Amino acid sequence: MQENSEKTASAHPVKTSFFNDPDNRSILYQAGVLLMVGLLGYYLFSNTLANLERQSIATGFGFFEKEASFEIGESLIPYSAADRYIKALLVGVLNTLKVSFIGIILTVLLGTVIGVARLSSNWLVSKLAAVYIEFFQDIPVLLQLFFWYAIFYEIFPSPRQALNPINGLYLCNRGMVFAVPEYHPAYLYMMFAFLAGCMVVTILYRWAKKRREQTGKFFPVFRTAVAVLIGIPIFVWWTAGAPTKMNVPELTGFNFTGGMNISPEFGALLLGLVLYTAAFVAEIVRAGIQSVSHGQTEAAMSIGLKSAHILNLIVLPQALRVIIPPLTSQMLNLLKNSSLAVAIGYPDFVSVANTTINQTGQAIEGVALIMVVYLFFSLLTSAFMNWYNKKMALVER
Amino acid sequence: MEEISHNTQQNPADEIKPPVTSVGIIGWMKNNLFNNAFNSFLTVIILLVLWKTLPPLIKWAFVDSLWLSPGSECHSAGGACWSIIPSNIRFIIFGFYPHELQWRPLLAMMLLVGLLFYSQNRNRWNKYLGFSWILGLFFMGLLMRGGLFGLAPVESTQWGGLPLTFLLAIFGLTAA
Repeated sequence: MQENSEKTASAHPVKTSFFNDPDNRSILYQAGVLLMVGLLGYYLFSNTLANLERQSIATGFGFFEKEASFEIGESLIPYSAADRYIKALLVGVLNTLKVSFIGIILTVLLGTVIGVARLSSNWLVSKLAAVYIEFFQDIPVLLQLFFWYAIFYEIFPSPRQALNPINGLYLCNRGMVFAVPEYHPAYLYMMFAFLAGCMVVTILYRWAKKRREQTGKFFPVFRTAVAVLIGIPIFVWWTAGAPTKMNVPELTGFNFTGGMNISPEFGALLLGLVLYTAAFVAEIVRAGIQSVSHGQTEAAMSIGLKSAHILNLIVLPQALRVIIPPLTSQMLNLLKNSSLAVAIGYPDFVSVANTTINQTGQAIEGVALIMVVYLFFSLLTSAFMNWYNKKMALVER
Repeated sequence: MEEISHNTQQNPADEIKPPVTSVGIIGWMKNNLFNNAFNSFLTVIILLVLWKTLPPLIKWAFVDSLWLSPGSECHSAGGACWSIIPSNIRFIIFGFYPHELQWRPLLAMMLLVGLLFYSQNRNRWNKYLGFSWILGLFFMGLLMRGGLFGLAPVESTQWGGLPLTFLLAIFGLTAA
């Protein structure tokens, strides 16, 4: 009986027409879709090229070598209108990095302080932090930027009637001008001493942690670190001649010369972005700290740990796991929101690239360049934060 | 013997009240504002800062401010000039929508807000509410766009202001 059925199975193989076979059909459909997508892509590409040709707009990145012929308000590297476009774009990138870098550091600091304040046992402090968070989260960031720019630009007086709250600091609508120490080699030595101090503190921290895990004794790392990072540069400053000469801004003609100037655009952008993003970071920090169950804090108190130790050894390692991923999102938000600088006149990368697009007419390359630059910095930031997240993860079996 | 049983039937809590510094407003301040040294310091600093900044702010915003005056008085006033808002209110809310047709976006907004408030109660969510929303959406589009039933057509480039924000926000949030 079995042989019979085997023979019938091999004597009559399933034979249908070419299109009834599901494998053949699927290959045919996929080939058809691929063909249609290819045709669509070809049509878009050739249409765009034809339109650009018709309007005599160049394609490709050859415009990098052309002369830029526009000025940029502020720049970290020396730049003039005779430089090439590629240098102008570099100035834009540096400006974006400047505001993003300083902004991210200030945001994390301010956000942490406000988040911890929101959890304070002091009713006034807690409610004030809540009011700050609600207020700054709910107003659109562009409006906040306009507000701060209006204050810095319209309300501050002209340089001749500049506000002078303390000696050496002037507030006017050309920016905030303040005195800086005049250059002296001692400051270079101080910076090296500071960097050396950072390395010493890192080694000290690792040694103290190992000693605590082996013997249980606590070493006052924080106080020693503060002493090293502040005391040694001061000592170096004193031995190098204690220079105290300051570069004080003086009102000459219509503006100040000397000192350092923070332009109203940069100040408004930094202040608006930091205050806005810090409100979100504060909520993230509060969520992280509240995610550690209170029983752990109580257990730590019952074995006699001091509250600083409870925070560092018990609450923070667990809270950081919850805090770091949303914090990465907020950092990327700050990086991308810095592109709103084009609305208040700060020459960041989008603003410079926009001017370039207007002058050369090459919108596609310009926008692609903007996308690539922001993608690069965002990926860099999130790669760093993901590495930090992995480092902070609690290692389980 | 009778006095003892008399006492135990009364509520013992009536007899001895807690100390004045533990209950009421003084107790609350002690527990929430001044419970340790650092908190007391913070409370004093914050109250000082509020004392210095709040009265001038309120004076600027509410006491010296102008609400409905013409523009020429704005420059000479010492306080806030809020009257810029009432005098431009139709432009602020409706944007570039044609002036005499502005009852239409107003009606569309009232319809949207009314539907929204009605839908707050979860118990009222049923088939009819779903249909009302779809019908409401159609009417809102009709009111804003015009073109049918004798309403003058208004291009979508002229929509603006608050109706646009409401539509985009509510339907964008829902779709997301």
